Amino acid sequence: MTLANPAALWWLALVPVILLLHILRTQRRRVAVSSVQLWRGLEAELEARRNWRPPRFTWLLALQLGVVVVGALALAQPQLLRPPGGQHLVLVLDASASMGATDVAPNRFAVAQRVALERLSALGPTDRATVIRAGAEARLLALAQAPAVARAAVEGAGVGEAPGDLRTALLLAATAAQLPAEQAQVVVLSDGAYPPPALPDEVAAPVEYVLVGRGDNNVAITAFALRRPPNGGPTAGYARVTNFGSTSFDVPARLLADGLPIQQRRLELPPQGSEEFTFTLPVGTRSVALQLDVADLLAVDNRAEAQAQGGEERAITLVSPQPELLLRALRALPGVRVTTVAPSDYATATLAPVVVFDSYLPRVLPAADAIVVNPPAGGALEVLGEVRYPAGLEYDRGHPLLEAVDPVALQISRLVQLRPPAWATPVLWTDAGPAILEGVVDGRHVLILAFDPRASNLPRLRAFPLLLANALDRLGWGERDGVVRAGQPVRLPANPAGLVVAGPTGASLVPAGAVAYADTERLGRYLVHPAAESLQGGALAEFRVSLLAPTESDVRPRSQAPLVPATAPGRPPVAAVGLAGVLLLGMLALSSIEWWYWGKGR
Amino acid sequence: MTLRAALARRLGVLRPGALARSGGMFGAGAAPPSTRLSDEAFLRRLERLAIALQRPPTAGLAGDHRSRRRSEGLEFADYRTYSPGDDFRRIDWKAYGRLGTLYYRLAEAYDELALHLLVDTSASMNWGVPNKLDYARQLAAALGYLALARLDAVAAGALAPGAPRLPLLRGKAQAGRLFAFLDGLPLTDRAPLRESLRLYRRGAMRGVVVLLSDGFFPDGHTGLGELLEAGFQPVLLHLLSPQELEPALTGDLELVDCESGELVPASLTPETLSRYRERLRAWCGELESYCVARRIPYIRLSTAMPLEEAVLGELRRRRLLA
Repeated sequence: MTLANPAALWWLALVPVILLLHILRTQRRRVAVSSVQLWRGLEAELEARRNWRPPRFTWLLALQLGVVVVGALALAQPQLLRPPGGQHLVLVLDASASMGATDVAPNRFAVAQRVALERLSALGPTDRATVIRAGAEARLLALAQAPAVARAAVEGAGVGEAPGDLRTALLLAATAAQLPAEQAQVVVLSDGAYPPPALPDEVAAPVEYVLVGRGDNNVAITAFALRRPPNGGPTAGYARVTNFGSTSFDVPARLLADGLPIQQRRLELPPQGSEEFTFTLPVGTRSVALQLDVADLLAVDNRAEAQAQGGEERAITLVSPQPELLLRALRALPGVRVTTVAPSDYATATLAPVVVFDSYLPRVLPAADAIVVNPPAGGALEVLGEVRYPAGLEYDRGHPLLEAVDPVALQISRLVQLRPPAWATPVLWTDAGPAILEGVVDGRHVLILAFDPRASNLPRLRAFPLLLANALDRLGWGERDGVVRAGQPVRLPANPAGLVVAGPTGASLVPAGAVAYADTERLGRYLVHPAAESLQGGALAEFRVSLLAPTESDVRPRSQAPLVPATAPGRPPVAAVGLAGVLLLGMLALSSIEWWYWGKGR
Repeated sequence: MTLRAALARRLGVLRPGALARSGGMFGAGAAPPSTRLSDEAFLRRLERLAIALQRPPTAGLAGDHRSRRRSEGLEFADYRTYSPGDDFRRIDWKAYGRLGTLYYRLAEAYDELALHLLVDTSASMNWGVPNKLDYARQLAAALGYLALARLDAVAAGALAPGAPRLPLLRGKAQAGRLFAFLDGLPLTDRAPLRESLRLYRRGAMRGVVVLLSDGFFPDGHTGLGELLEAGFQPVLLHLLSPQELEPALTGDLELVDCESGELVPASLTPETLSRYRERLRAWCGELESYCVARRIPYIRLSTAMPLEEAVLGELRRRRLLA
């Protein structure tokens, strides 16, 4: 119910005025008696014993108050908002890793499930429910379904081992709450262990935030990375262990290389304290794991694994009529083996997984990742022309390709004007057009430098080798530090014919052309096979997923309401029934009765 | 309608239309007279009753009431020694033979009782359901009838100075006059009790004066004592209506005295009503104490009590009638 004119409620101020009038002057009804001899002074005698005399209840007083109250309500124009449909309950289940904390039995997610089922039980058969699981990716388990269907969806949901995408889940919830013909309510069941999501300021539905969990004693591996030094030395590792609890922990830590312990430590962690350490892997180590032997609230963050990059060199085919500049630059990168091919021999050459086209480009890109430098006309890219000394250099400062690269000093004397492919995204551009583009086409990573480095000052800049190193990192598969964080997409090897990824929960087919694998919600070892081959054969690639998410490991419940309900209805009321007319009639009826009663008492 | 029929109707608690003509909740109204007695059995029972006051003042005429005097009748009462001049025929010669002393035989004397019925006709009596004035008229009619039937002399009047009065009537045949007089008693203004009684007893034969009143006398009730001192035997029949005994009033009211018109504001709550009942008890107790101290019969009657029960029950129980 709403009031169209709430200011009219000020008329209720007449209520104390009427009470005051009744206190000050009571209207008495005359009654004849045989003699007032026995009544005389009786009231005064009683009143003298009383300090304060409240207004006595009379029907006249009740009627007058009723007239004022009903009249004020009528003038306030109350409206009954009546949704044509039933209730729509939008449930957002936080399924992030922190919801697996065992401070409530059996864990937070199970408690959230129980609460969700209770809410669903309260719905009627005509009500509807939406269930959204906020795991590594937000997933709509049921959209405006009957309560029984929603119950099944809630019961079938499980807690994940990755940070939750609560932001997308809440956006889905806000969208579901706007479904017409329903009176929606959003219920978010979470422990608050997530970064504050950027969301619309208001949601057109009441929002209830159900906080789950109560403990905070948790120790976690918050950083774990491997780095192969440029000089080809043994792989070095770095780890950080953090105590997020309010009590000290004495944590035994074991470092395992290919499953064999190579180092043991005892970490003394004060409340909210961290300890970092480095280590060196034996030569030839393929995988390394750090295991904390501690009983805390969350187990999934007590182990981190990384895949050590092998000692094999990365093969690159350089197709160029003048390969000297790029050959020198590429060979300067560690672990890179470059083979040059003249453009005339390109058709018959055996290509490496990464091909660099310099001043040459075939009409069809090969089934490999590619770096295209100074593309000529007539190739796979449409060249519009050339521009000399383009001005207005701009670039995407947060792009990984430009990590540690400062392109401000770059001067290009001749820019190849391209019609940007739909799959490519500009990374650096001028007023005349993009100078560096990146994209994925048919499962290939492609990087385009639309200028000739020899016609620029790039070779003389320190940014040049860094740009090439970043480019190779972007084109290759896997992660540079050997670590894949839970929920993070993993770049796959070139995928022209489809891949199969076998993980902790089974194998899944990756269609041809897909460049990344995103279903990394479960921790553990993942193997990538060609789709055409048996899983028993050798894997194309291997990666290991660890949590490494301080936000999730900090399991103390935080009451941060993610959504703010709208102060005004987000959508117009479906049906508004005005009550002012009925109330006015009631007020007139009360007035008539009051007039009659007053006259009767005279 | 005959008197007997009217009284028979009165034998019930309520008269038809009594509430309608009471002029308000129980208020004053122009109550038509209704002293008519009709119930034959009631009348027969009345005729068997008599005023039972011991040694009431009499006027000396022969009547049906044992006198304080001794007479020369047949009914032996006592002896006394002979004095010269006594009728020697009443000397008990047998006693003289045994005792040697002359004893004079005395006999009981029977005198006529003069019954004065004084009805309070002030406005406060014309109130209540059942109406107090009606009740007083009917009660006076019943007492007068039984007195006439017992060969007593009955007079009647209103308790107000200058009000009409009915001289002494004798014989049952005069009952009609008595009833007509009672029916015709007009409402009067408030009158002081002392002045009213003083004027009434002037020239009146000594006897029993039955006052039928609600007791709301403007000058108090000391006039009863003066009546007693003047040789009359007052009897107070204190009539109160049920609405006076248990008022069914609530809320904020302005009470109007139906006699004086005086206004008294009263907020009637259970607490107030309880206090009123305390006052009523105290007032009635004071009136009764005054009467008892002077051997004045005092009988309080609620007009809710059926007339037959009042006459045949309460008045007999209180030894006014026998």
